[in-house]
Amino acid sequence: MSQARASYEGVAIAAPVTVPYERTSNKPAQWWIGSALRGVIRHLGVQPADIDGLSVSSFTLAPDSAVSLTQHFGLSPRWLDHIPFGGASGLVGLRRAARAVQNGDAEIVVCIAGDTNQPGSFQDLLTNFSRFSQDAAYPYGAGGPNASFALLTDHYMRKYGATREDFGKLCVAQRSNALAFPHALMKKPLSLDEYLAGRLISDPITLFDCVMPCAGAEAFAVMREETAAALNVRHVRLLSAIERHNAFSTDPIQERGGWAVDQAELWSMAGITKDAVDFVQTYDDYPVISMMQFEDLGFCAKGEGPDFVRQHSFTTEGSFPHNTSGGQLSVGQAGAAGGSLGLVEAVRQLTGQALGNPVAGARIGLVSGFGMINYDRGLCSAAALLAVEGA
Amino acid sequence: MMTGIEKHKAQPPHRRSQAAGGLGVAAAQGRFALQVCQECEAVQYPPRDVCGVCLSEQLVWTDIPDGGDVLAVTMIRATGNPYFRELAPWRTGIVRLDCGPSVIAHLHGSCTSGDRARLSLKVDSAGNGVMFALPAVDLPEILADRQLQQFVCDPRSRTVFLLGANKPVGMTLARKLAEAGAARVLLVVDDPAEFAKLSQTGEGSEALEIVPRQEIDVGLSAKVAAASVDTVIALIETSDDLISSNAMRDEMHQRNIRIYNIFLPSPDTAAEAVATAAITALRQGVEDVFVGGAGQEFLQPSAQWPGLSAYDHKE
Repeated sequence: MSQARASYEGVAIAAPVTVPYERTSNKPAQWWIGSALRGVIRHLGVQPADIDGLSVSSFTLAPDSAVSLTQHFGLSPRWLDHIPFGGASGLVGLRRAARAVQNGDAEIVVCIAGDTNQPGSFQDLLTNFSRFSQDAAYPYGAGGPNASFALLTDHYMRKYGATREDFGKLCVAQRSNALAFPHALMKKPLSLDEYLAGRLISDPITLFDCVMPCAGAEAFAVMREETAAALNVRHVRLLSAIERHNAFSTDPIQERGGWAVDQAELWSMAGITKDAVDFVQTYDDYPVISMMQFEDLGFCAKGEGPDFVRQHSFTTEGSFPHNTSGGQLSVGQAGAAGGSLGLVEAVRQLTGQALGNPVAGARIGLVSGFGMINYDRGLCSAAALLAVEGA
Repeated sequence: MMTGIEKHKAQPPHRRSQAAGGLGVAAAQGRFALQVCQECEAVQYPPRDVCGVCLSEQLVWTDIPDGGDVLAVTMIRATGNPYFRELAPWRTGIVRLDCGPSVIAHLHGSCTSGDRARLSLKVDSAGNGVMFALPAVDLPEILADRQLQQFVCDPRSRTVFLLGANKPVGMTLARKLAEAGAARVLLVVDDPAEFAKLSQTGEGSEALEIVPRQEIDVGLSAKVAAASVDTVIALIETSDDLISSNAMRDEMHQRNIRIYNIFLPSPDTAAEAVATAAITALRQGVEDVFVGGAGQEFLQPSAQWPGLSAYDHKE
């Protein structure tokens, strides 16, 4: 029996920064990450020398790693992390940074996820993604994540009765949210009919189920609440957080993620139920995985995702505000930054700094991450519950 | 009328781990083998260095049952890879093997979600072993499948180089290839005059053409290119035969041309039976055809892939 997880009490998350995305960029990852760092430092009103912790996530930083960036950026941190977990990196980085500031290993940790997108860089990433992918996934049609999620979607649709309309409802609501979000790359409204008429990419996945790879960066700062108060910056509290890798490895095909292992602890540690949540930011590189997150995080039972979608509305004014900036599907997928997009948006929403439509009266938000299709399934899952100061 | 087989300039994705090389060795011999843990018996896929269940490093390539269920299917219509862009759309799926692992595989056109399937290992045109799911029961027109044709050698419409054609089986196999629809069979012989005398007796097919050995010794690539050769078949009796076939292999793979080694049994085996066995193996994409168990003496137990035997391709 393992001991109970220590509380995240006293941890503050502040300075939500998005470096506006670009479809393609001739600037390297170092530029995007450096710009995000500058944004956080300005937001906090501190000097670079005050940053004593740095956490970096990026797919396109090679040959650099986080340590190279300390010299590039003129930092001398006493705590440094590099997190190569794709869509789970933001939450994994948050959890580690939270423990660092709780334990005094660092005072202010800046967590940055950023990538460039140059001609060919997405193809390079797919070709070299992982050993199992190189041996047993990529050589089978070289469809990348579109093909991987197409297989999971095909299976989920047949087993649980999800329809294209169900997925379309999520995509259409996210596009509606994105129209108010200034950094979204997708700026045109999307109707359900347009969604349904999208061209096939990898059956049953169509154009509007897929994210647009782009360049961009997301960042936030983690510190103790006392530090945030001393800096006089708005911040959110970390109520609970979970992380799991390679869960349910004997499932023949992925129909659930690691959240299902740990979600009870997520809620109990926070001392709240799902009814207390004002919005949810899922990891949404394809709508099927958002639906699985609704199930595996406890909003409905396994297989009830399609019905849950039919029962709710998902815009910022809806019954279940979801991916309030438009998510990756409408903002774009800036590589590893996709794993921090929902987290940074949640911090903005809970600190009254929404760039798009605010969720009225939001006090508690759930953020979820998912990453790394190493072979046939995503291996990393993570989630956190965040609350406004005093909640 | 078909004028030739589909030809592709680009190569399929070729990078593999060392462990995954075992798939290619098994595929070339027409075996369906995966690593099996000698301590806990778990079947491994993708290929590993240690067992995914008990971490034992005792993983031995073992012939295993090939049956499974098709769990999911997709048709890939968009890819940045040049080889699959030429071939798009391309159909793949996930097959759960009865013996454990889930396998992403190329799918035969008649395999759909919910079906039973047989998995097979095929050699792709870059020389790697790949998973191909076939229908559970044999269909009469199974070879007509467009995707399967990328991995097997139906002689129909092909231009074939037959190395060692002066061996006893040569003329019989050449005629069989022509009967099976080969567009041209170039018989590479050491002594054309001698060979011409031998082959006088048969009613000559216009698909057959004799090429003196010296001609390819000085310019194999040029000859292959000039004749638009699709396929090379080497009849192997001696280690010299094998060495000269293997010497070509890498260069031919770079041109997306497959080499099939037909290891010949003792000369008293009926040529007809040998040729029939060879063509059956070609149609399954088997690259190393040990007719009637011939040629085993060329194989060495592989240190790299325990449980498999191989000969040195680079000799």
